[in-house]
Amino acid sequence: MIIQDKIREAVRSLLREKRVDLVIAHEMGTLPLRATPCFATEPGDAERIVWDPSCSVNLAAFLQNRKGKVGLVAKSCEARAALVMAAEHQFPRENLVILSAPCQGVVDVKKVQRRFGGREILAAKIEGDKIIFKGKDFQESLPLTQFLCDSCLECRHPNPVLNPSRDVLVEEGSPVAPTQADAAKIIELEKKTPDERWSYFVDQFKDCIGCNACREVCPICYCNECFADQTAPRWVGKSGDASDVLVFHLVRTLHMAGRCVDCGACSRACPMNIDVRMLTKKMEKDARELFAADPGMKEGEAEALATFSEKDPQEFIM
Amino acid sequence: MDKGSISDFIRNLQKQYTVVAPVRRRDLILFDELGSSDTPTLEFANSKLPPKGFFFPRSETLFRFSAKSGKMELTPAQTKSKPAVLMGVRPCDARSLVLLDKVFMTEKYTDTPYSRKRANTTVVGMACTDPRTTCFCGSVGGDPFDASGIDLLMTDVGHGYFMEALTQKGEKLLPHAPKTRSPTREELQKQGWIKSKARAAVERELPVEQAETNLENIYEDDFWDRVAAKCLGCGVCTYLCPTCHCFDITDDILDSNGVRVRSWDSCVYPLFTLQASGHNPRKSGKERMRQRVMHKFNYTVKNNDAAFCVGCGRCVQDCPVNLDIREVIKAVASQRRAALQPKEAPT
Repeated sequence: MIIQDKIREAVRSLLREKRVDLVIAHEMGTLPLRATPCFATEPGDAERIVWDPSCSVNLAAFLQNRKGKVGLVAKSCEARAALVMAAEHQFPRENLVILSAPCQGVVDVKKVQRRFGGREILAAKIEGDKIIFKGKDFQESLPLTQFLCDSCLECRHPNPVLNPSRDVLVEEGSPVAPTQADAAKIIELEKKTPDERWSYFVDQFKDCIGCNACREVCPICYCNECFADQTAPRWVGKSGDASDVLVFHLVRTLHMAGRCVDCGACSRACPMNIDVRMLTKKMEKDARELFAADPGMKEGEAEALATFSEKDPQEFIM
Repeated sequence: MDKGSISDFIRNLQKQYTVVAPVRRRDLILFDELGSSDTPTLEFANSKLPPKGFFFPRSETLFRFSAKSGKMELTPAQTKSKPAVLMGVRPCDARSLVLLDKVFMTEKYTDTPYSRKRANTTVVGMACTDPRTTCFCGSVGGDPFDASGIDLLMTDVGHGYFMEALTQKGEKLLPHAPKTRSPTREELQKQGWIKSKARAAVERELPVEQAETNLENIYEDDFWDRVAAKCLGCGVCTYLCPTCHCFDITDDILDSNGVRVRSWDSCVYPLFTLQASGHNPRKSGKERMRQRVMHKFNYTVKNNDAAFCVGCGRCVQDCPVNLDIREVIKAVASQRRAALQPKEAPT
């Protein structure tokens, strides 16, 4: 049985036995290579669930403000995000059942659009390690890895780490090294001067329209009142002034340090093709290098930036 | 006009007008002011952001104020605008301007910054010869060759463009187009063929009218819980929508000087209806999604004789969770869980 079938079977059991009130998963969407969230409440609903590289939403975002017992069909990054939320008391761990399996990565539709120069893809079928694209007057079969998100190519945790007494792992995974060097683009940026980095930053974000998609798709951005929406005092103006755009992104990114699981949902969501993940990935990398942070990998583990240890590096403090 | 003459056309226009046209930037098609040596991108499906931003900008200063010796000085923002040509506008987007006019230029009230720009701008449309599968203008009163809101309509027929002046404003542009000639019979036939092919390609069968009727009766239904379940309230649909026009007004102040600014807002945001008392009549995503659908497909029909949707499909393409408005319309029209039915895999 392929993983998708095993997941469906597990969801069916969970709902039949009423171990959860609801299962959040992906189902087929209305666009090629785009799955969409689905909310299964009856065993029969499990038929609709899909598990493949079109599952591009981070479903942990749907745990926000949710009551009751929930099953979450999660890729490893979604599972880690859910565990960060649980550790931060946003969702009771005992009400969460994670269903997961090793992940082969998620397609970045922006890479598809770039490759085909904006020509519309009418249908795309993933067959093994290839995608067969069909357009109005063309058909091409190309390697899947060419279109996976950077966050997936660099992923260090494709196999989820679950709690066997709570969760359901439908298939074991074998260790696999990331396809692309970790934070490759960021390491390039780190070599540049502060002025060069600032120019890059301003250039990337000058098209930001302040829609907040990056914030809303992120499961870790769950504050009911975001700092950017506060009016007394107003930290971030609404005029679209460049400084306000930058303050929003810089502060949001800093809030992610030690908490971001590098799922890449922010970059996927941005309608203006801004690589928002460049900022959060830098935070993730720094937190890992400075504080050995690996959010969501150990259930209940205290967070790097929320705890103090005398062994914390202090080269920057006099 | 031959395609080779586009550059000259634009240079000629630039002597008198600011020319704003689609350009390619970071794999996006965006409307931008052309410099003296720029050429536009005129082969594209549609721009990422709709052209509404030219008349109703992302953020706009309404006036400046400063406190001087106990008195408040107000300086209105500069509202004079140079004549402009807005080129490369698809008929769906041009029609959206006609709809926005119903909001910003009513009998009782005229929005000054918007109306000044509208009066000073000539809209050059680009007929839609190759609609996408997510286009459904035909279901909401539009058409790939619709003339609404267009002063001069260009049609790409391969080697050149048909240029049809539809208004006096449009006629004034024709003398700037170099080396134009009457089309040959073959060219006219080709245009006719392209037109019928494009018209056949857009989705015309969405049950929008039935949805509008049903919306009268399902306000209290828990149907809306299901529709809104996957919406994350991100606002991409609103910002990319050619007809969405909600705005916020804020003051940005430093010491004793400030500006009053109008900026885009979205009804899907939680703060949209949050009152100073702390009460929020639309406290969850369900109420906000219901409001969005009702506004676009029921209230505006009553208030403005048109649904505020031009079928451009941008929200369908860019919603991060693939919440497809076409599915919502179908679900409303049939009042069943159409959005949750299993679908055939595309082959």
